[in-house]
Amino acid sequence: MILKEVTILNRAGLHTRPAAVLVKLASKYKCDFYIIQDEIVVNGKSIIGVMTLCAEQGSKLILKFDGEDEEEASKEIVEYFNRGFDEL
Amino acid sequence: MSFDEIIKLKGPDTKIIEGIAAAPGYAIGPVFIYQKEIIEIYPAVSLTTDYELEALDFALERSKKELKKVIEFSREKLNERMAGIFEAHLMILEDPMLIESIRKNIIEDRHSAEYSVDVEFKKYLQQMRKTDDQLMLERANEIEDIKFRIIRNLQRKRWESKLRQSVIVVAKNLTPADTVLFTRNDVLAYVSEMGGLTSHTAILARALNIPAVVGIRGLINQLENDKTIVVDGFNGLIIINPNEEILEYYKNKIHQYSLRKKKYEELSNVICKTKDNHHIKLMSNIDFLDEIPFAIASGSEGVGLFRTENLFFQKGTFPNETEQIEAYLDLSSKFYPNVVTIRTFDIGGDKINFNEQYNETNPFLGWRGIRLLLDLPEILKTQFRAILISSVYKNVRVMLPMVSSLDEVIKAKEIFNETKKELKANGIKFDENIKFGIMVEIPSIVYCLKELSKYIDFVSVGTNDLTQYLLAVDRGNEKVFKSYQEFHPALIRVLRLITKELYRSKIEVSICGELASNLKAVPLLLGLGYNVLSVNEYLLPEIKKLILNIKLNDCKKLAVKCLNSSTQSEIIKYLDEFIKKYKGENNESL
Repeated sequence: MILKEVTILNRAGLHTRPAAVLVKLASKYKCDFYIIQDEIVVNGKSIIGVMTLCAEQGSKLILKFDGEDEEEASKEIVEYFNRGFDEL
Repeated sequence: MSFDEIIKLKGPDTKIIEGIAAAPGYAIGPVFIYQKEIIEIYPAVSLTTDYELEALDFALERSKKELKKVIEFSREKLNERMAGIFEAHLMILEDPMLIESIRKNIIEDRHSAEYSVDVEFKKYLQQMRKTDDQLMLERANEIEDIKFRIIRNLQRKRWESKLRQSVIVVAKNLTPADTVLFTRNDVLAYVSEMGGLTSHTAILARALNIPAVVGIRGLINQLENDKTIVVDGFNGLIIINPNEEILEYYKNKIHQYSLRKKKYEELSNVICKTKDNHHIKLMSNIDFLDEIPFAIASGSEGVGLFRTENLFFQKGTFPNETEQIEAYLDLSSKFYPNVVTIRTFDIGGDKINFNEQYNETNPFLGWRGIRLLLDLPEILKTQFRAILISSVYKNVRVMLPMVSSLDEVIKAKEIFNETKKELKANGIKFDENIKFGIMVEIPSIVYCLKELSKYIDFVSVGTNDLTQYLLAVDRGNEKVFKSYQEFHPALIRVLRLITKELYRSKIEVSICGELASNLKAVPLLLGLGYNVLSVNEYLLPEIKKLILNIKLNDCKKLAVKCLNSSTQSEIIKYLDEFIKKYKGENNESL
């Protein structure tokens, strides 16, 4: 299992478009992927789940990867967060 | 303000209702009340599990088909980014966790498909509606719309979105999908009871160039189908039972607006890029709020300078917090999602009426701009508060005028941060990442930019004052006016120094002085490294036309020549040659 902390960098936050991209990225991998914000845990492969998160610029989230390809998944997804969802 | 004018015109039966101005434009036309059938969720008991599961699959497939049509349509009418909103909606219909939980509900709890859909969606909707965040609430409405779409398809019903004539579409809640689909008809305007400026519906209406007013609760009960109303998408007004005078007033407005728009239209949606593909951002300088519609129509990408001192001059004294918030929100909401830059009052001490007459021998070198504001911290604080409170849409920047030293910036920023803290303690919302910048118009500050970059996010160059202080010439004085050289070699070199200093620190630099609105100067400014120009609205289309036809590479060569020139006349010669060549290539007169 891999745990990573990420910060929302782009101005508009985790809005509809990046949520969709995130879920598409996660769905490529076999491992489980969860996003944790404070006490809320959502399945990162569920678009409706990710859309319930209220993650503004500056919010910190914890990403949890668990499964055979967790290494690759965490790398690609953390990178997407660090690029500010390509909106910087 | 035009609102007062309208009130004066109205007849006894006329009713003016204020909402949120979501998309600019005016419309006069018949009302079409778009009422979706209220969807009732039928009892929880299922027929047979197999039947319900099959019905669910059918409804999901059908809903996907409908949404795909919307996506196709928005690709055609809008762009890939807008279509992306609906892609996400489509993904919800394919969400494995969601569909699995609905199926589980049908199989294990023996509920009907529609009841199961309702129950499972509600779990997410309840979570989303716990907040008071407007964006989240809008998002919940959109997701609820997807739920209704599935349930409607389970009930094998259809929604009609074809119209017979040109109408103003009024609805309780317009979803993004409705907004796009209605444009298959001739829609004059959109009006909805729900919704806000940041809703996807408002964004789509702006992108589709259809005026829209949203957020008027209880409106539908006051309207009748086919009766004529007026929609004022600039001021966010709906006018019911308009009398002749009001109609006349708006017909005139529509005419004026369409004339200007026509002039602006061909270029307003064209992205401003040089021939060799470098984006140049064109923003507007705004003096009075009345200029906003024209600036927007001209294709402006935001406000590079809003001169708040005009609020002071109009009132004769400092406007209070409420008056300021009203003005700033007007500006930020109308330009949303583009950025607006609000400059704190730039007033000279001679303009303020104190008990004793205040006179200065040298007002241009005296008590003005940030110096004055730092001496009147209560006034600066009130203005900061008003700007912060108006930043809820996250498209507001704040800018200090007449900065001459680092200390002034540090002191002002302290007051700014203190104001932020107080607002936060009182639970008042604002944009915590609001950008803070300064005007570069006093030569001394050019040499402090490196140190300043820690404290600021952007700078804007005011060329008029910069020239005046650099050359020590009062341009209002006829005797020395000749010495006011707007293309003085020293000025060109200072302009280059600024972009050079700021190149490494990620500080955005724009230029908002008169030089940016001078066609002759534009290629030079581009060549000196300025890629954000804030200009007068009526010149914007022409400047854009010029930029579309020149190469940044040529501009850079021009800049090198000018930087090596020793007199103004030499520089002007190069600039004229450049423009002449451009004119020759494009066969037109500027």
